Amino acid sequence: MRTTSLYTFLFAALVCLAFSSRANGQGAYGYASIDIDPSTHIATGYASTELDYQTAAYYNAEVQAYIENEYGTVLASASTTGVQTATVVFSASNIIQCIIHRIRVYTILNAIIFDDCGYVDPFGFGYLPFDIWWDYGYWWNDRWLCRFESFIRIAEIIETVVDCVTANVTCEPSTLQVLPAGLTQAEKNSINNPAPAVPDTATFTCHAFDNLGQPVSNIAFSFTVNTNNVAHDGGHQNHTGARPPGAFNHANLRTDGSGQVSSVFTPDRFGGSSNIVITSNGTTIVNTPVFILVPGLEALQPAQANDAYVLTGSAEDGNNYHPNGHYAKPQANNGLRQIAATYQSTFFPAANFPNGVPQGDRLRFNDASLVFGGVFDITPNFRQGAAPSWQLRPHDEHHVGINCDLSDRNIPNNQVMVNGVLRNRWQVMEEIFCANGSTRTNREHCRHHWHLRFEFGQNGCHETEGCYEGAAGSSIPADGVAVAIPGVIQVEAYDKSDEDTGSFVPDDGNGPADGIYYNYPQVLWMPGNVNNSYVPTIGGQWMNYTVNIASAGTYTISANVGSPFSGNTFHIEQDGVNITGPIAIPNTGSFDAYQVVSINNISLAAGQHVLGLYLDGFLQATGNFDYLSINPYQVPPACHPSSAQLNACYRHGGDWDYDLCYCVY
Amino acid sequence: MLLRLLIDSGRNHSPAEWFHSLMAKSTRMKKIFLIFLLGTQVAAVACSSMRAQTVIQRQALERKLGDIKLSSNYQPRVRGYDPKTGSPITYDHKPRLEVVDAKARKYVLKWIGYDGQEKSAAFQRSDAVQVMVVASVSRTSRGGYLYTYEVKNLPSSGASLKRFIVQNVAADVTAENDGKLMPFSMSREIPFFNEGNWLSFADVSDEVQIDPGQSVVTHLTSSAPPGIVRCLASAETVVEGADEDVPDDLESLIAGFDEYPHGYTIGPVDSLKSLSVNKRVEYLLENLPVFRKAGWITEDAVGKYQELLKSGDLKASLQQAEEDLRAEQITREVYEIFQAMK
Repeated sequence: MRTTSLYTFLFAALVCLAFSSRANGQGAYGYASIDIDPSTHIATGYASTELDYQTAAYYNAEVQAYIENEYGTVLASASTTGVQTATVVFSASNIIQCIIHRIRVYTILNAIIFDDCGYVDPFGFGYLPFDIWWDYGYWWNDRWLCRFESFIRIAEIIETVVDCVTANVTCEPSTLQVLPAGLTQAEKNSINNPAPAVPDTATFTCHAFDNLGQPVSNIAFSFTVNTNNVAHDGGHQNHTGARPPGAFNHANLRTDGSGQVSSVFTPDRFGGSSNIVITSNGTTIVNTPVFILVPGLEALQPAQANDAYVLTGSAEDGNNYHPNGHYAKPQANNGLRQIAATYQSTFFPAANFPNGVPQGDRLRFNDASLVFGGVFDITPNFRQGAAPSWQLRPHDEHHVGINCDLSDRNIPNNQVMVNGVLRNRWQVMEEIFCANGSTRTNREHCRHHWHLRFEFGQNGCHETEGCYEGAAGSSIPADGVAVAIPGVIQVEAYDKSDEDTGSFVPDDGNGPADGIYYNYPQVLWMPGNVNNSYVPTIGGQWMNYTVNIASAGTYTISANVGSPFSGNTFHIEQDGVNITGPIAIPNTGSFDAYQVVSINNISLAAGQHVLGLYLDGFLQATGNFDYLSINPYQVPPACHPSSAQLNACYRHGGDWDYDLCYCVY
Repeated sequence: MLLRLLIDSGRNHSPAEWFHSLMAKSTRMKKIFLIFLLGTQVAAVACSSMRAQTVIQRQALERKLGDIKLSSNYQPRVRGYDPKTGSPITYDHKPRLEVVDAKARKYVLKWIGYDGQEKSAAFQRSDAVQVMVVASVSRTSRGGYLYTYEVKNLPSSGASLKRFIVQNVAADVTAENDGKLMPFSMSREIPFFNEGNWLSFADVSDEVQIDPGQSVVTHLTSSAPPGIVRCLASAETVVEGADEDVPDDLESLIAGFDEYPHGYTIGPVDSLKSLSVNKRVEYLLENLPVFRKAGWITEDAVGKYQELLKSGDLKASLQQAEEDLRAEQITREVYEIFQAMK
């Protein structure tokens, strides 16, 4: 512990000097100091105002003084008045080390000014410029004597104690490993069984004590957390923006009477490492990473020569956003390998297939969990905030190492001969899942895969239909309500469905590199704007929007779109009928540079209809769509240029634009 | 005398008139009638009791058919996370459960979805089936045992049978794929199945459906003699109908393995190959309560075997089993286990 550095600092507020010309050299002076005794933890403030002889003839002196901490909280105060001088000495207890304490003093002239009965303001304080803080106090009640009293605050004196006693401080974390946020209790139970248990939060507790080991109160600590970009942000490589690091429940705290303070760190849903920094009095006490992770995840072993599976979706497919996507709990990894082994022995017995399962028939395990667990955001951004229903995305559940997707593409849903008996292959696979620990298999055949869940509890096994469809041919508004027209359609809010009533993204026929094909549009945040989204599109993609058109008529349909390519077009359909023809997507120079393109005079029928945004072509990148805007078509005023106008236009190489009604060069 | 009174009183009367007439004759007559009535009741109960002791009554697999309920203090549903604090943003999704068909164990879970609209998911519990298992054993040409399980989906069942899971404790069990139910080994990673080995025979063909009232037969072979093993059966559960993820509340409503209809049957047990005589006697004695619980043995037979086995007379017990099988005092399962103790 260092001893107190006692500073007595004299500060004179030579306010009167500033007005000396008006005060004829009269003056008021102020003094202030603060002293902290480390043995008693008492701060003593001294403040004084002194007026010179002439000023004192007309004004009284007053001083108001305060001792404050670094946040401006007043810990003690005092004030007094005098004829020529005003002085206070006062103290505050529990004034402890390592923080900034100030004494703030106001030097005040306490004037008695006679007004109508004879103007007296010899030094012109009534004309103080506005950048000097001053005020008049209150009316005195001797009005009949034509007298009122005014306090004129003429100076502020601040003395700061910054180099005070430093207590010994230490900080300890309750843990340096925490679970990602957003896990269900059942998932936590699964993760922490067997031990060790990893908690949801990390509590950082700091202690302050003096050389005698006695607790010291009021020591300030600051708790901050930042994203620590290690291990590819917990598996999310090249994602947009910074991974949300989590937060402390208290950023600034002071030790209590027991010399202790605690702040709780709550992680975000993304796995990774966050850096914790705790400072006190400008000194860094703690600088450590905290790992946000699901413990015990292990990489699923890459397939050996005769294994009946292959890994897809991550590094093996050149995925740049989550190259380490096959981490799981050991039981889940065992389950996956057992599934592959059972699949092999059932469908491709060694007697008939001595070289193992043919390459094209091997199970395709796509995306388990990331190396740290946590949200497995398959899109190249860190999803933040509460998402409306249409933004809920797949892979949300791939966060604790008990899930994996398995492609159904090379396991046709038809009758196949298994051991001499005709079987439904998908049903056989589901029974293999059940026997090997996938307790709640989610059928997502509309996305060409199963979603396996290895809970290994006594959960039985059952299947859930993960592809939810509306009535045949129906289109369901994204949030249950048709978009009102005239109005704006957010392109990302396309109608719900999994198959062919809400949206569609075409496949090239060979399947995607990762073996699992998501045939619905992606929804991505606008760069740097998590409150706005867009949909990247390719040729052949379409999205439906259920709208409620207020009245039949002609409309202008506009689209806000960005594209670095020329030559792409889209069209709009109403209830399956092309109502616009091809509309050119402008080359805006970048997918992120948006431009509004419009088409006029489009007839729309009143009532509820389904409008479709169709990208012409097949599979080529077309553009990023932000919104569609549909408003009544404003018929341009009739344009009847004179022959002289036309001649002049053409003579100068122009072309008359009848919509704009002027010559365009 | 009673008979004469009854005959006399019954002449020329309708049954009702006869009864009133009889009762009206005298207090003495009433007393005689009550004594007669009491006597017939006692006799009936006694006969009934004797029947219970003399006829084997095989039991269906046990089910826990209590009401299923949602927890009253359900957790609010998470719909997103605060981007600054990471704290979950929750809402009250108001889950509720509706019974569609109690016998078929069909239910609908309803809740308020992410979009504020009511959602629902229909499901049928795996314990919807009522199943009886009849097992028998025969010797194969190679000296092993062929185990045959007839799995009866009883007419009172509420669903088709999806799978039958049976335990064994032997190293060389081979499941026969007879074209109906297909065999799969249950992973020992699943805690429920970490004792011994479990084979699941499942309906995985579009051609096969074991409806209530129908049976299916499966086979195992092993060199291990028959002993007591456990078995399960289940209906198929597919949760369907929602247009968003089903809330976690569903998990407490779906039957787990420990809630599947369950019971005992016989299956290969390696350890029975080399038991001493005393251990064989001990094994049989220990399992008499299982035989009784499964309805494989009459009460009389239990008493006889207890007596014989406690005296250590295994040979007499085996002879007794031969007789009792013919007399339908024990089922084939009990007989086979006794035979395995030779």
